Amino acid sequence: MSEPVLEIRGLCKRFGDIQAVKDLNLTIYKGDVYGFIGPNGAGKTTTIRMLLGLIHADAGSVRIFGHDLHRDFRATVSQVGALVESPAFYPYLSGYRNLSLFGDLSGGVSEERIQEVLKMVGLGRRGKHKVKGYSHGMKQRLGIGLAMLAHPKLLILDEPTNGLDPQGIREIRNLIRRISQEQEITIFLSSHLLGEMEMVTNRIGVMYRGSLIAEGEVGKLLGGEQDRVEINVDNEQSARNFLESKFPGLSPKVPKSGWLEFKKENWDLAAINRELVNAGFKVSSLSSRGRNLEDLFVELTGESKDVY
Amino acid sequence: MSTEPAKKERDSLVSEFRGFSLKRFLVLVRVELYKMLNYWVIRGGYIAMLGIALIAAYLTFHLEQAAKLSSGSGYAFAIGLLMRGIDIGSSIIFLMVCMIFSTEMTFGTLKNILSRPITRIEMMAAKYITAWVMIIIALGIFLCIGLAMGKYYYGLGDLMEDGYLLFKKSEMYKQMAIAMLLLMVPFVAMSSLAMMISSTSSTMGGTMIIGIIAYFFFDLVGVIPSNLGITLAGHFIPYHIFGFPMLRFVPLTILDDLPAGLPINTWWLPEVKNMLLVCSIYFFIFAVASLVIVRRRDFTL
Repeated sequence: MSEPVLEIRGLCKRFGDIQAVKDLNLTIYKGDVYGFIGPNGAGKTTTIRMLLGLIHADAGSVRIFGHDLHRDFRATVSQVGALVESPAFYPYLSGYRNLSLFGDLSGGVSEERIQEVLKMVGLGRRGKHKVKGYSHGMKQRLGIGLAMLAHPKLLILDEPTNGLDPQGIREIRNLIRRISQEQEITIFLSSHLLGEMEMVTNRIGVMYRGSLIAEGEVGKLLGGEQDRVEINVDNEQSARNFLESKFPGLSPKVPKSGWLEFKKENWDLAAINRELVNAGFKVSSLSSRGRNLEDLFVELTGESKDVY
Repeated sequence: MSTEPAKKERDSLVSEFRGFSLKRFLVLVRVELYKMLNYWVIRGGYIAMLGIALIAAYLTFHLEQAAKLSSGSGYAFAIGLLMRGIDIGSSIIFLMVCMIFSTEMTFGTLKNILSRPITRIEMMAAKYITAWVMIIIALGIFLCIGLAMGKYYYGLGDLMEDGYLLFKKSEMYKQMAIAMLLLMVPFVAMSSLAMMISSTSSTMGGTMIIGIIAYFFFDLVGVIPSNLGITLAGHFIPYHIFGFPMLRFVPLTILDDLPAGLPINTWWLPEVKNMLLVCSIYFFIFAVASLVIVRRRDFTL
């Protein structure tokens, strides 16, 4: 196993009655693209804020590249680049000038590096414009650029694709992959876009009500089996009722309009298809697939909207 | 025997100074100054002060002419204008200083600063220096306009009366420089009050409201002696101690005697000593409070 980059031990944080983070233990290794997922209010952003020293932990320790955050703050954060929640800039200054100022605070970055970063995040031509004229997506891009500006060894990105259009999301995904592979940057990524997380991360941790309830390599957590069946059918509610009466114990779900989904187990798929067609339902497709991150997430955290 | 929280606090405090670099601190000060002096609200504040100074100079001269009065010299004119300037302008200066920290909260940029290799005490120290530079610029505007208009209307040379030399030009400038230096003392104390207020607030609006209330509380308490009569007021509470912003007039009141021909043999006068003592106490209380607040605060930006 490669060297640990980020080690969190027994981290706790309470806000009044709410235990935002409780006894969090986590290790991220060099080269990891670690996905940190969980419902709203699970404690992800609070954890990230504690990693950067924005809020004080009630208990526990954070070590980054072997340095204790509490005892050696400068040495610790000098190797970290971060985007926490919504990006923040001085609106009356240009994107370029914002990067230049924050670059100076990181020990100084060259003009070429600022231009390179602006181009990397797709703001090459808008860098000289004032930030107040930027769209949310452009600010998000600038925020990612700021996080990468000073060549960090650990990149912490909290919801980096917030507010981006599909093309932007794709660009950021490719960017994360590229910098992880080419520049050997370890990435700690928090996002609600589980599909995106599945595509870029190699390890994930699931936070729920302040605790880490699952952690590990994505492949191992999801398992390789094709254990789900998806049916594209018209009148999905009637089809579901029909299947429940015809195949007791099947209990299909309707994940979205026009689709039924159930666990494969030992069901005879050909028989199910035949019965649906004979009953007059139009079946466009029937296929099996593996468990994805969303399935895992729902299994672990439940469908409840109550976070606390 | 030290307890675990006490040890943690000590480690954290030591961490504030471990790896300190003067060069990086100066860069931090430069960055702070750059972003404040390029903020249109701050520029607007300076333009307002410039306008106040020019209008006050124009009105003062023409009212003197109408009343067949005269400041007598460019120096007296400049000192008079400076007094009026800091009377009206200090609330603007106070609010501008409040913005140094509150803009970071409003824009959310504080998280960008705190996630750099900069400690909270270092950041606050840089903001204090920025505040003092901003105050110097503001006082400089009033002084320069006063001197420029004084020279235009009356001339600025050696101070003469009836053909006799009262004070040489160099002496006048020397005493003005000392007065300006002393004038900074109450303003430094006021800046610590502004920083303390802004460090407790999460928005610029909140800071402005609390700031203006606090400023006028201390400023109004300071004028109670002159309204009630110093002797009468002194029977109850030493109001002049609570109203420390009013102490900004102490150096200029002493300086104001100079153009009238009264020499300043020493600045080490009881009222100056009192000003230094009171302002130092206030500065210490507010500055320490602001540092403790910022160090302990959780920034959920």
